[in-house]
Amino acid sequence: MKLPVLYLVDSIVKNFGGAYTSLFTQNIVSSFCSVFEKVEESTRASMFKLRQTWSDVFPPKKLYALDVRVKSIDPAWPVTAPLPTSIHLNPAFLPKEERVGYKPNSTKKSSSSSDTKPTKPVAKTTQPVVPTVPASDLCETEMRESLLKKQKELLELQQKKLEIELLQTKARLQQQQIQLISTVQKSPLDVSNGLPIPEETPAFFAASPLDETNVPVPPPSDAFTVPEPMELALTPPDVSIEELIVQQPLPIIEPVEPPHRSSRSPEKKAEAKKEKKDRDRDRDKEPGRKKSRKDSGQEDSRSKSKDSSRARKGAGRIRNLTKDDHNGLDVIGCGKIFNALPSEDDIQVVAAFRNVRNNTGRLRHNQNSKRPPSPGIQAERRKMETMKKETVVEPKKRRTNRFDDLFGNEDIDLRKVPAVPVIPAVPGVVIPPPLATRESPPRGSWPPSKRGHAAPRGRPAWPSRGGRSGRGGPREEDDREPDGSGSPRNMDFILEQAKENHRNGVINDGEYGTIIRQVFQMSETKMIREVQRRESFSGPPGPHGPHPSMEHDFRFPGRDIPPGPPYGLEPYGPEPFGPEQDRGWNDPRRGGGFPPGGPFPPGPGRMQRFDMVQPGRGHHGPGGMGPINSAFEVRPDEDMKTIPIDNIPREIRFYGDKAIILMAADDPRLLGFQTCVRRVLLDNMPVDCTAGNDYVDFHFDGQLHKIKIGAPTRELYIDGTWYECMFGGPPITVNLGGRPVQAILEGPPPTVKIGSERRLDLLAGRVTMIIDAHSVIPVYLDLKLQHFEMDGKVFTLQFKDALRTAVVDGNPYSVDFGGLPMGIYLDGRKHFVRFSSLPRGVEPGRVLQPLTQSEENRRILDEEKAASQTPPLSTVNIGELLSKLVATGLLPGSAPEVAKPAPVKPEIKQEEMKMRVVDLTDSESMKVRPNIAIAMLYSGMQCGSCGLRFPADQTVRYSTHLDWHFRQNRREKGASKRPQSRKWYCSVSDWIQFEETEGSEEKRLNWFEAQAKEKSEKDGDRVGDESTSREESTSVAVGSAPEENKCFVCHEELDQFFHEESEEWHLKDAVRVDGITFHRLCYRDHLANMESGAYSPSDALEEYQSGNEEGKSSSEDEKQASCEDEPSFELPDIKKDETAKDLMDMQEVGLSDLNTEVPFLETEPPKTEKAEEVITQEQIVQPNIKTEPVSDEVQFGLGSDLLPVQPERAVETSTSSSIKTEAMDVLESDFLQNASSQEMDSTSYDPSQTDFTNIFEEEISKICTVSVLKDDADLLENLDEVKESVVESLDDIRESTVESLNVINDTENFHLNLAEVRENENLLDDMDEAPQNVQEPIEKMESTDVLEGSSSPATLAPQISGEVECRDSILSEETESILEPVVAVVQTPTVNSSLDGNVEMSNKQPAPAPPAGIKIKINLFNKSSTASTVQQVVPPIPPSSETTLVPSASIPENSSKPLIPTSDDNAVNNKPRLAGRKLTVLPPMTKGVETSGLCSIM
Amino acid sequence: MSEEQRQKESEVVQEFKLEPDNELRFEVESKEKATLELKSGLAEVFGTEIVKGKVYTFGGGSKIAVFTWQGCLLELRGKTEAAYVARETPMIIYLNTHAGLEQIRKKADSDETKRGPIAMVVGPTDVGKSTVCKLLLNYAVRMGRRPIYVDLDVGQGQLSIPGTIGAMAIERPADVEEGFSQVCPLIYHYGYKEPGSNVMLYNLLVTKLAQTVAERMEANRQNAVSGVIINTCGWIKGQGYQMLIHAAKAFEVDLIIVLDQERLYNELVRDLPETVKVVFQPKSGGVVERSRQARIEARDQRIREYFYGSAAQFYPHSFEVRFSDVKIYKIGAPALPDSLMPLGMKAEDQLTKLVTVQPSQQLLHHLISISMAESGDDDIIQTNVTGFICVNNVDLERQMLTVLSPQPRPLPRTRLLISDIQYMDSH
Repeated sequence: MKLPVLYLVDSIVKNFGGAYTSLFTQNIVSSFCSVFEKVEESTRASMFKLRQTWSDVFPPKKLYALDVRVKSIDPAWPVTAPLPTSIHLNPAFLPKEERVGYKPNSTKKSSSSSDTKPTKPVAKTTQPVVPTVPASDLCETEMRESLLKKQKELLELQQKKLEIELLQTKARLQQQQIQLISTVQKSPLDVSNGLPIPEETPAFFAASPLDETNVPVPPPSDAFTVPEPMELALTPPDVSIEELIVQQPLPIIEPVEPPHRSSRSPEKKAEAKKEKKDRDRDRDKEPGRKKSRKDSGQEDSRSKSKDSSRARKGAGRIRNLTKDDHNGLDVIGCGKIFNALPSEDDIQVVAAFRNVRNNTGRLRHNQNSKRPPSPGIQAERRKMETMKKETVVEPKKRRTNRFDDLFGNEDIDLRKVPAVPVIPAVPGVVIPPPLATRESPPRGSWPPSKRGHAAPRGRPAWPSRGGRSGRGGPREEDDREPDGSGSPRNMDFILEQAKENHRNGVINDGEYGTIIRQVFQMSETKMIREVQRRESFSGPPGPHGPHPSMEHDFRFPGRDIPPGPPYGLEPYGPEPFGPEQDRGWNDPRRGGGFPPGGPFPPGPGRMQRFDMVQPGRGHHGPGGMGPINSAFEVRPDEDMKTIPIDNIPREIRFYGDKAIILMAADDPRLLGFQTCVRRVLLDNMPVDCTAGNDYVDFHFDGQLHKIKIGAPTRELYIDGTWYECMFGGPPITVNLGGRPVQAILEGPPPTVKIGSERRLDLLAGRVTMIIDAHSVIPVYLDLKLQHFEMDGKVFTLQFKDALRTAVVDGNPYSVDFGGLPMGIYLDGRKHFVRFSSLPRGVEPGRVLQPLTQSEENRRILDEEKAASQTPPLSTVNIGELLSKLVATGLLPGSAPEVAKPAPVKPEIKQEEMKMRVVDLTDSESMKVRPNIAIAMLYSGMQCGSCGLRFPADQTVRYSTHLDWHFRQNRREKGASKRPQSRKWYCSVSDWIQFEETEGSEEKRLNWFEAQAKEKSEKDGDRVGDESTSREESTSVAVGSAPEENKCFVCHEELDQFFHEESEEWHLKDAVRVDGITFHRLCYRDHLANMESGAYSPSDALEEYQSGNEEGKSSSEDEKQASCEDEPSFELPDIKKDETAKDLMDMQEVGLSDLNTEVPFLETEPPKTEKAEEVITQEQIVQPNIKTEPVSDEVQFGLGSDLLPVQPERAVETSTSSSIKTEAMDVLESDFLQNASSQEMDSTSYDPSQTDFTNIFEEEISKICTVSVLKDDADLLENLDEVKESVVESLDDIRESTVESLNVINDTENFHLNLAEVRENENLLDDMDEAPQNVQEPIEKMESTDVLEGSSSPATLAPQISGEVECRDSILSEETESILEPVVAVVQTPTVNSSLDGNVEMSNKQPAPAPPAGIKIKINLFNKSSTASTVQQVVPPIPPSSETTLVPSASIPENSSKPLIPTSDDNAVNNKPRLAGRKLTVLPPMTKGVETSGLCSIM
Repeated sequence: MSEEQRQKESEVVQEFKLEPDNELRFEVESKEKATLELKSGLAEVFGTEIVKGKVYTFGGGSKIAVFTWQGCLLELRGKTEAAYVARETPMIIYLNTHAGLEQIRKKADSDETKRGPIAMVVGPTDVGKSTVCKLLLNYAVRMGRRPIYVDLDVGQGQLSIPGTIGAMAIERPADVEEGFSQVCPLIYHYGYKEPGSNVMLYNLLVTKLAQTVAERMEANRQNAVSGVIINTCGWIKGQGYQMLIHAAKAFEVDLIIVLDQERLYNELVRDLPETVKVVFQPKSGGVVERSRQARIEARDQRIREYFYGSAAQFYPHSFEVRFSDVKIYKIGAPALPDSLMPLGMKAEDQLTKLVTVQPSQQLLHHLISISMAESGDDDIIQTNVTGFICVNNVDLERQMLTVLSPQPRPLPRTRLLISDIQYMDSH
């Protein structure tokens, strides 16, 4: 049993319910669990989603059992079902508390379960309480009865449990009451936490307001305040700020409520209790229905303005008839309560509730509950949408949290929980957690959180490398891919692992050093390669195109990373390299898109860092940096000394008589002696000197001399000349007045004083110069001339211009510390020289200047500021790595002389396998344990995926290996989306060459690619192997913003792959123009559109031709567009989840069609819901579409479109602007769904058919009346007028409308082209033809039996208006005020949309109320176009669908058949002009699927 | 539910603390599964080191041995038969064998003219030949080598489906759960599950395979250095012995590891030149003798895995192929008495003759190899295959074959070789 079966079950249960439900209930747990046990992670995710839709389908007890069971399989599964406690109130137990507002709290009620059974009989009698019962309810009694039975069983089972809980709850109640009283309004939120918050929050939410409404006794004010905040407090932990804000009005609301309530209460007192019980019972079993009854009752009393919302809700209700529809009702419930309140508040509260529900993970219902939008709410809703997208990702974790809190007593404001990072990144934790702990949960378990990349699956967390622009994209969106990335990340990983191993003693120092060195070289080499690549491509690299990644490459965990206050709460979780690194990089990067370019584009992050800092240095003047060293006497190569301080050799560098000691590479300090007096004997003449003081004069041989005590290693200065003289040591000879003098410095040695401040004015620190990736030379950041040696030659290096320039061998180069290597010419040869990044706080141009005290202070301040603003990136850098190398004794300790090159000569202690010579023939020796062999097998770092180990000297291979794993995983991930098959074996020659892991990608793909190519050529409509698109592919680097990784035209997520050459993530088959990313083919279409202004006939023709005749390009198109659906095409017996879901969806729609009076209403809501759900499923966190609410929604629709019609749509839609296309898509799919729903359920067919017909009729009449209006200007005017009156986001819409007008003008062409007439007829011709066309469709319509038969004008109006409302509220979210006057007018747009949602609909959507005339014109042309399409394009399709497509996939096509009883003959008849022409019958194509679906509606 | 519950409850969680050099052996009950997790220490499964904390799942019927050189703690969940810890294993000998091979590789490493060891593992059936091969390969890979695995066991081949022989370059240790990655093996069609069914053909193919492998070693120095490990059939008597000799010669083996059959050892020592080292090694106590039925099942399993993948991750395709679009051959004509043979032709020649097969119901459920050969009849026999299809239906009226194919239509090649081996697609 697999997931599809579950979907089937789900579908049955939801659509038919009744006996099926009870039957399935019996074993749902076991079946679910058995499936769950077997399937892999992604399917489990789907199952989770499925499970979340069951909250009201199956009894809570079952769900709870299910949750618990599944949790035992997979601990990460959240137990979202409430503990199946009864929610009945036992007055005997809780006489008082009950009134104090306990009702909203389920546990308390549950505690009173002992009398649950008695209440049940009451249930029936309570029904009259509800004023109006929708007719649809009546048919459910049967089901309810069965549910009642179930309920009884359930309750009996629960009773024992409840009794136990009772005591506990009681105690809590007491406690809480105390709290309530004490905290009344101040901290109402606190109360909530003691309360159990079961998964089914919506139920409780729904209940509570109603409860209050019905509370018979108007309680004291505090009693009332409690419940409200509670509800709000129930908002799950990660409720966004929005909600927090929303909370505010509550205190205001509350006072208002009591009167409102009490006004009702008197007459309701009697029934209140009953009702409550009834409701309680209902909630347990079938909460939705009960509420819907109430709902409708209340709605009657509503203001008319709410009509549309009711319609929407009604739609929701009907659609979810047998499921739960809390949400819509919840809102109503709230609405009722707040009716008396200012509408603003009302809405806000509603929004809050909605948010609450959003966060409970029951997203699909939210759409139902959309209320008539009022201006204030729109923005919020939009935000909500976004938020939903964001939050959706982590419902699991949250629920778990919540459940954990369920029975806890702590008073934690749950809303504050999100502030606490899921896995708190402890600032300043220098040592990464042991590998084992970072090891993600074992396979098969759920990630604790899907948020971000906090909890990767399957493999240790990879340190995220924020600096990599290319990497950021995929990682951010793709939390399923924690397993790796290109080598830079590998390097981090390897280093980390090495460190870990080293610490654990798994590898020794030597190996550790080897690894570090290899990684180091890898990265250096990589960078040089990168530079070379750039040079070859785009000329010289920008001198200041800093390479942001360097710091990251060698970020070493721990070590000198200042905790950095703001990073403590970094939500990234296990960030082994210190979260602070990422933050600075990511943020700016997110903000601005990267220019497409090399893998290391100049990181804005870095730039920004400079930008942020540099303005601050205004007073310094950019170049105000004199060569201060000229003042000093420079004695090259003698400025360096090393003395051990605390047993660590430290470098001392002298600047004049100032000694600077480097306590660390970035920590220069002034060095001197503690103030004290020492005696110097000069030829036995004593001179007393005070250490730390300036020169003192003394006379020697009658001459005045100056003497002072200097710093360690230059203890004695006489007349400006220094001598090294040990305190209390042997005498030295000094030159005094031209003659040698014995000088003795008396002991004891004074204490060495190390300055407390960093002295960046003289020496900024030490960096490393890496030449050609192998020579590593420490250089000092000062202005002195330094010498280094390379290839046996000595060169000079001097920094100038405050470190902005380095003069190497006399030639100035601008320096980019930490950036990419720069090419310099030494001795006629080109070398790549790179400097590691500057120490913390050192900025080129700002250092090495003598500072005044005040300046220095300010500077420090600045620095601090900068440090807090920008990540202290430079602290962890190559210098760290080098210092490690030094520390491990691999590099010659800090070379005392700068000039001395320190080439990295591998000192690998290659552990020669001193294996005992094994004599295979000597059986005795064979029995000796080969310890060395064992040790060798188990040496090195282990790959977490396959267990392979890589010894220290194979780090490069390890990196390659990790890369390979990464690619593999990626491929598999991509593969999991569609069925995989075993490949054909390769040819002998290929086999001889084949290397799976180490061969180059091209080589590897040779054969498979050929296979795929072959396949795609011969089998155009199938998706070939994934590698197909790689050939002739164009790719661009992955953008940082999510929307950059989508095709602008079709909004498909572009496939990502790791581009070997550039070593970054690329988008497959994509082009980027002006920062906008397209599919290559979409872009082509886009361009074509731009040129023609709209969908030109030639374009379309071309497309069709290419689609049908060449097959290839179109198949490419389809491939891109249809990744999702393809599986179902390819394999009948494998039902893709999505397809199954859709199927289900359609069924549902069909069912609701059957059951409702207004079948049209529900098409939209389900769609959007589904859309959203699906989107979350796929974890495509869609960015907001910039423009307007419409597109927001529409995008959902688009993304979720899993109908097999997608390919076609993508092709089609690519021809118009994006907004338009989105709208079109949604509509299209809507109609397809409608159509398919009819197909799905034959009984539902008729009603909807009628609808179509009605609409046809309507349209036809309109056409007849107004077909004359042809003035474009008029149209525009009218449109604009309407728009202005209507829309907030007017501009966008107008744009689209204008565009749409273009489209309208071109529809003639469009239809011609669709009809495959290969002539371009000009617009005028078409116009002339228009009247004819008008007639044609009318005739056609009438000739259609079904249509004729079912057309009933009577039902027309309500339906249309209903639809108008529905659409309006959903899509454009317009205010009701607009709707009301407009209804009559709006009819047309909606009609249009329903008819062929293809082109026109999009126009109307944004502008819901344009004058009818315009619309009609549109219709007119469209009519004809579609009519012809129907006749000529569609017919070929059904056969193809029958033969090649899966049942599920073919639904839309099938549905088209009954709807289009046309033939080619008709076409000719209707279009006389075509009579003489030879019409080509197109070969079967999947492309046509969509078209057919559309036309079917016509 | 109740069933599931029971299952859950009855799921046994066993913990095994293994001393160094001990081996945990267990067999998963058929149609059950068991998971293994290394809690601490180091351990390996048939030479593949397992990762601590990673859960490995084994399907029903798996026979697993987890060996530790250093000692470890293992947790075993699920229904297992006879999970026990063995103290006596020949693992040291096997590792020493590896060390011996590694010595040869080292020599090859330093001397361009030399190649790595070519070792052949021989022995009767059910002595763990494949396992020893796997061990040696895994150890080699773990040492950074790229050995070539040659599987001559037509009955229980590991590289592809039964009835074939083949070779594959091993680049990473066998997956603990799925075995060696079979992305690109080199496979030759033999067509029978017994090597004796067509000795001529078998030897011919072995020779061809040896050539190709040599070519690869020629082309890829790393492969050359790493050498070859050859698995053989369990048929070691009479003709089978001769075939072993032939294979040894064809591959120019350096080392023959004889498992558990001293007679064979002695014979080989006697019959092979001095340069070939023949060593005798014991079989592991963990080796279970497979029944005939088990072998049949194993064969079926191999075929199923070919089409559906070891974890049912593959989705094969079913489609129709016109008779006229393909040419189906059978290797080996019915033997004729010499008197009826054309002049100068021997009966044996018939065995490697290509015979065109007319599609008929005879084809039903037979596996068919798709030869890589592009055209003509030339050398189809000695051409490797690109894959296999299974005939699911023969429609003589419409002249159509319904085939189960790993890839969608069309077939990559049109020359088909029918195999004696049948497979009923029960999916």
